[in-house]
Amino acid sequence: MWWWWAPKRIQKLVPCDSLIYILDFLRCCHPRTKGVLFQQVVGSLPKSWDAPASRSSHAPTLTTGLPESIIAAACARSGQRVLHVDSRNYYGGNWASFSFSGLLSWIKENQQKTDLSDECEEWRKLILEDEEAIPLSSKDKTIQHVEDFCFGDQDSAEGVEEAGALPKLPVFGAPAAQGVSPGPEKASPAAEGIPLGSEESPAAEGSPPGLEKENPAVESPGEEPQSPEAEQPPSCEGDGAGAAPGTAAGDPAPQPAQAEAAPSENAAQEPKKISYSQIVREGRRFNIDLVSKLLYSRGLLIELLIKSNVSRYAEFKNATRVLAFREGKVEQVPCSRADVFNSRQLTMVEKRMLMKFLTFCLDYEQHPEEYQAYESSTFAQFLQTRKLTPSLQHFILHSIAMVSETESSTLEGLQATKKFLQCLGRYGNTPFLFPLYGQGEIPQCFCRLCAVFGGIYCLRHAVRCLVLDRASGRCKAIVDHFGQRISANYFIVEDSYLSESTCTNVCYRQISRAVLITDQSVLNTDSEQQVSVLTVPPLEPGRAAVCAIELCSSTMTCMKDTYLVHLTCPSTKTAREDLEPVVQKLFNLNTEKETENEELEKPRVLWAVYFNMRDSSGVEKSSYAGLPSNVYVCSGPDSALGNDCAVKQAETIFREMFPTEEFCPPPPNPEDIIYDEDEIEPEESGLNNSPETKPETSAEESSSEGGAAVTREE
Amino acid sequence: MAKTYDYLFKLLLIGDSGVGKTCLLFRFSEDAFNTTFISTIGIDFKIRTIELDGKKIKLQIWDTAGQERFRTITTAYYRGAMGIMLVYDITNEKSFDNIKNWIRNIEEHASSDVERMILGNKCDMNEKRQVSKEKGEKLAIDYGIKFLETSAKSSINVEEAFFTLARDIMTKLNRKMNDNSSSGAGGPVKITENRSKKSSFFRCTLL
Repeated sequence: MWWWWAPKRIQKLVPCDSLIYILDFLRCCHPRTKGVLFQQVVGSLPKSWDAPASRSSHAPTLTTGLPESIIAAACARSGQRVLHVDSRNYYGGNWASFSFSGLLSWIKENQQKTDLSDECEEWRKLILEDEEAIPLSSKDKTIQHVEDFCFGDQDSAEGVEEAGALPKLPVFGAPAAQGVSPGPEKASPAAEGIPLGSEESPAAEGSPPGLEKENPAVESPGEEPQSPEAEQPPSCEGDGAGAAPGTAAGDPAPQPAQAEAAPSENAAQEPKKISYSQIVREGRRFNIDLVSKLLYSRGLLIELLIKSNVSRYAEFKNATRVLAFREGKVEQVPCSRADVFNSRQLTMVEKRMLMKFLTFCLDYEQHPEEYQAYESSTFAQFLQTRKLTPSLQHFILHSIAMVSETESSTLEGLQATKKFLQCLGRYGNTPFLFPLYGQGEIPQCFCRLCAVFGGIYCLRHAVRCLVLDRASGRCKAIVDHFGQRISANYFIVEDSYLSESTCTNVCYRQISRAVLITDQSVLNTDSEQQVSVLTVPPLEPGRAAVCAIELCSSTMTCMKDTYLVHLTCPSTKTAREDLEPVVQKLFNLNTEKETENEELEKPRVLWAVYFNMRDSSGVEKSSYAGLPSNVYVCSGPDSALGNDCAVKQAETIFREMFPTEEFCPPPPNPEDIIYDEDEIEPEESGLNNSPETKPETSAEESSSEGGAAVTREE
Repeated sequence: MAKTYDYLFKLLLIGDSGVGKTCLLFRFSEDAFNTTFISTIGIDFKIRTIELDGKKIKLQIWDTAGQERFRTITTAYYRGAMGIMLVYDITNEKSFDNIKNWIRNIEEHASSDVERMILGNKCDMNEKRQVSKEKGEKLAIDYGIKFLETSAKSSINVEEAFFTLARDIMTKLNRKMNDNSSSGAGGPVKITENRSKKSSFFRCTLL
């Protein structure tokens, strides 16, 4: 995918082309280089990049996960020269998201665990006498126990191609592209970006500031990508039949039984039957995250996105509801004031009790007398004393505070509740936002900021070892898979790159993950476009609660008429052992038609994958053996719902490296940048005098836009 | 605040390194040309507001930030783009051949109904030409895309190119609005600072 002449998104082997390409490029740009130093890479860079280099040190960053990407952006932003490499051919590492075919390749790769034991030790020759090599791991061992299941007729999908993702003859290229969304004539030319609003902020890019103002066009903004879907209703059936005649036969094949069984039940609201071949064909509509997280609307990530202006690269959707799983049923949790008042499931008394308690939680610090006596007990016990009904206790404990029933203290619970409540209302009625196209966008957005400030990106670029200078005890270079030595002052490495010998003392936790494609929501309401967070309390003692996030197609992470469900919990066993019991409670896994009525009401799982991911968060740097002081280690994703951990880590590492630099200050307004001071013509520099004043106005603009953006959400 | 535009279009520039994407961008947005700037440092996007059929259209034109060099353009770059300029250098055959690859990239990552246009840049350097105009036209016809030869240096066809792309987007948009039956599922949220309301805002909703 990234290497465009590679037909599939993930390719195990680096095509020779790429190798030659990079080397050629370096040679032609810098014919006099003969060494293999960082300078060579620099040699390929434009002049203006070299110029500020005098004040900079280099910071190669390995892998493109979220903390690394944030650090890369922060370093580039403060004038450092950054080289960001990743041995994978996609951005994000374990934070990435994939199209359906991309995910299948990823699964295959991780199931096979192909031993890349081409451990050619050639690079060792490059290590000088006064140096030492710290080998890096060439295999990614962070993913285990990958098991995927298809609950449809997989054979029917054979030969079905993901539209638009496979190599085509150029002549067919264009028609094929349109084939994806039949009828560009009648359809949706990207209505997304029609901001009829008056706000004029550069940050407004694709999404019009005044989305929800009266204009009809305005509703479609973010739906551009949706527009393919919007197009589909008219053309959907035809699409299925027309696009691939083979699948016309294939479509009904997988679930003829259901097709008969279901419509008779309640044909009206019965979701469209989606077959596996349709999933494959519409595969690029999926953006399936390896980690499932949400952004707390007052969390560190949101604040950083705003501060650094990286928010202009992404769009978000509100999580629309918070759900609870109680007594075998999924219920909506009223969390905002309006929710509480409008709730039909709560009695008048309950409403009052709940409001009273939540009000207390907002400034619980002011009323220590209320909870002091319970500081040593659990939050669950504290709740029992608060005159709350069992269902309210359940809502608060599991769905609002989202803390452990048996382990979390009263204070932890109060803190978590307060955090939740404080995040309400900033962008919507729940505390959470989800990035359109998936969490995998976020690291990329920081990578773009890094690139805009001169950072160089190389994917598919493996690094063999760190080179340690014996005398100083510092790391001075890396050696890559081409045998190039790249010198630098700072090195940022993701945990998975470290070899076993470096990590012998490190004890990792694991995260259990499941991703399901389902045919309807776990809680059907009038709107089918819901983004829901559901906490399933431990089904048996000793297990962890499972966090489920259900995404609808308008988040641009799954095709129309499907839902993408992410399940996450800290591991006790394999992902499947941890999560399958929950999946069975919530979903219907049967493909046969003899399902009981009760089962029929549940969403049907069309496809599922389970895997365990290493949780390297919270590992002290001192636990890694023999790492020089100028090598910084980033952890992979943690199991928490928010992103605070990654942001905190990035900021900590950045401050260790550059204590005096500001962390990700807002970049100048692109409209005002003078990018080559020496060569700019006089009248232009006259034009560009304004940066001092302009950014401020634009800040005001964007803040007022923010206000608008928020008010419209209310 | 006074309304300063009616529409905002997000456009992208795509093509090999050194074909003149940034120069085109500068020629169009500032009517400037400078042979010495080669880099794309610090350039996120440029803006120019144009007028079409009495409507003010703000064109927000994004540059690749140098990520095309090693083919590491992020998928995020393509999101929400309404028009894409595919640029090659008429004095560099390879950049022309790569247009096909860039088109595949677009098909994979951009919205399927994005407007596209091919530009053969540096047409002032006829003596070094490696790609004939006919070849460019042929490619464009094969893909059903519009084509122009441009020169950012001599300011040839740059205005025309961007106006044509904008007009095509506009046409598509109007058509869409006419037979629009959009389902309002809540638009996306743009995160921006809401300083003024920050401190006490949640109370408005919660209590």
